[in-house]
Amino acid sequence: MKRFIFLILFLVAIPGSLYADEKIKVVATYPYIESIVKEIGKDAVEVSTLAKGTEDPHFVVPKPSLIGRLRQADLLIINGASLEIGFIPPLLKQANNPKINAGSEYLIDLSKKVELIQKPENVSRSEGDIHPEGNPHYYLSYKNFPNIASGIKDALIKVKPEKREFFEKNFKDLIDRFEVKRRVWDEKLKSINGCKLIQYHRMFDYVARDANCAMFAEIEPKPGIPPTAKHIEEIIEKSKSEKIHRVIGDDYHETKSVKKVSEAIKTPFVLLPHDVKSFDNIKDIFDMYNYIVEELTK
Amino acid sequence: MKKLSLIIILIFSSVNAFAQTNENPFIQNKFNPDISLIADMAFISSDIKDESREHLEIPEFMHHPPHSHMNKERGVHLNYLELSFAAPIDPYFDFFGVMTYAPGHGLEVEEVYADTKFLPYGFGARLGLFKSAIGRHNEKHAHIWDFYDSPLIYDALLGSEGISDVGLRLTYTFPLDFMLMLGAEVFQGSSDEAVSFNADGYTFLDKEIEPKSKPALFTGFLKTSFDFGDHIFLLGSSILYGPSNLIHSHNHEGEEAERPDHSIEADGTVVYGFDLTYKYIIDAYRYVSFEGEYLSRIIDGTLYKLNDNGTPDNEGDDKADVLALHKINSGLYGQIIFKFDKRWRTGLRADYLLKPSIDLNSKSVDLDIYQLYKLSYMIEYYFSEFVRFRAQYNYDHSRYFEESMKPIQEFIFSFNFAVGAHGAHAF
Repeated sequence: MKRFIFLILFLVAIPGSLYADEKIKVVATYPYIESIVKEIGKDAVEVSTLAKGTEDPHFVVPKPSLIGRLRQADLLIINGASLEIGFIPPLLKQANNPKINAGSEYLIDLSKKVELIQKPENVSRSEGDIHPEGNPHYYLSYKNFPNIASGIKDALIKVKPEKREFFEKNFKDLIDRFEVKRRVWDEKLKSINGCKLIQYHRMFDYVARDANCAMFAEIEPKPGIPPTAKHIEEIIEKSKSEKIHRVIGDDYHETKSVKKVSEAIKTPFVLLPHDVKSFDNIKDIFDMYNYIVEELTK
Repeated sequence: MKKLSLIIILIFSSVNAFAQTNENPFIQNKFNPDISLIADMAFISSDIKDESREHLEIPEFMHHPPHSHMNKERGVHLNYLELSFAAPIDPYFDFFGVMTYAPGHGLEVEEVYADTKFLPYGFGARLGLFKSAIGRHNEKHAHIWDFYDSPLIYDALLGSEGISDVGLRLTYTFPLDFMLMLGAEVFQGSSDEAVSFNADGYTFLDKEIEPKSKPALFTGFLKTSFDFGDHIFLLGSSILYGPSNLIHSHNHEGEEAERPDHSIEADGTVVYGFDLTYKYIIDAYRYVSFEGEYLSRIIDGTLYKLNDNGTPDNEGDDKADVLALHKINSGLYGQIIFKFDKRWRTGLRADYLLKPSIDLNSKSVDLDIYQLYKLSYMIEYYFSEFVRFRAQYNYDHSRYFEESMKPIQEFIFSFNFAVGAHGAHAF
């Protein structure tokens, strides 16, 4: 018994010395966050990501194996706007890490750094899976990128102020590279200025805003509610007299109804990624923005 | 009476007067907890009569059907209405409470506890009335069960509501890249519904059984979880230790008290178990999962039995026979769940109870009982995350009715819905 108690005490006492290294342990909820953290933190951070790029971001499996990483995290960075509400709270409860609990200063909510659109006036579940804070898919718009990246940079500085210069420099380099790409994307989007789009889920509204386009319809009758045959017929009917530029599907929803609408209204469809690593060739966040802009303007 | 109504009118009109003023600077509704309501209903069709159901037993495991909110009588039922509250108390604690209304059981406080969120080094504590974290099934609330009823071995050894008691839990999460968690709990350990653990005293015939010192029930568990790509594993082992002051009567609600025919007194009963969950994530909406759990109970104590010489009508003359008892009860269940669409799940569960081993006065007792098992199949449809329909078929080959095996077939159609702000569920 005595030996057992010693063993426990030994294992409990270890954390400071043996396990710790100099890197900031960051847990990111989605791959796009991981991508930006790596750009700014470089070798000063170690990032673990909870969701995969191919998972439905609203219904991520709360893998208990992630509890160990949350337990050790110096920083937890989330998308916010209730996107993670279905899987983060039970994991945090079991991780017992006071640094990153709800309301703690090392839990960073990126949605606070940008302006959300489509904030509902009335909140009711009869409207489907709506988010009281507004549309949570803001990160798909490259115009929100500087704010998101700056939020991440500030968070890293908060954990390790002595590395401020390093993070500031990496951030500046990243923004410089972004500005070059941004000019290209801005130019490309001009070619579809004012267009009308149809999407499956309310996911690409921020992208449409970047291009000054309008979302004409959603294939889901309400967010999170799968389409009915009648709803699809209605969309087809009302789209016939319109000039629709593209029908947009994504990587994790079914694509059958997207193709059906596309064929019926004789408009090409595109499948866009909802996150980094949604498709094999989307390795970082610039790949993601690039893919979205290229596919929409092709 | 008139005066009273006048006062009421006065109060209400003054409330109104206040309500008309623009903003109440002291309003606190932003601090209201998250509140949710869950309702569960079922239609049951079964080949056993409701009158007979009360007398079903699993020999050497369970002497009457367990106390449960999940109705098994034929026809349509409201099983329960669950009202839950969750909110941060202050920067140091979170609050969680669940009240359940079930017809026939009234309003019960199912859980009410505070969780710490300030302890360093991966420690966490829970204080209050709560479900023990032992095993895999125990901590789950009925609305997230994969089947309508709890596994047979739970009914038999821990009660269909599992171990839920007033006490303290301490957990420690190791600083590793996978999950490794060690936990221990202390519970009061006294309950009228006790199946295995009870510290209260009682009188059985001429024997006075002393209450045991409380808190009486101690548990420990170790859980680990890791994954290889889309293959997720969760393993656990648990132990419970406490006294068994168990009186086995065949009394049923609404019936005249029947006399108990035996009782057990044991200082250190042990229940231990192992569990394994494996889940393979196919894509964003589909998965296959396996869950299995083994539980075993060892009772080392004294059996008091109604003396054969005693006449049942003449209470005063009854003497109890005293026998040294060593008894082991074990069982397991395994289930496979396949989520094959965003809105559909189906699953199969097999329950099996091992033949108990019983020694009386160090002599083993030869038991002549059937293989005890139960098979369940279910299919579910979700309108959304908040509404679920489930159809379940049970073939239960574990119950005895009037000393002989009575295989039971049941068809259950259940309906469950949730409104309000309900917290997310763990894996």
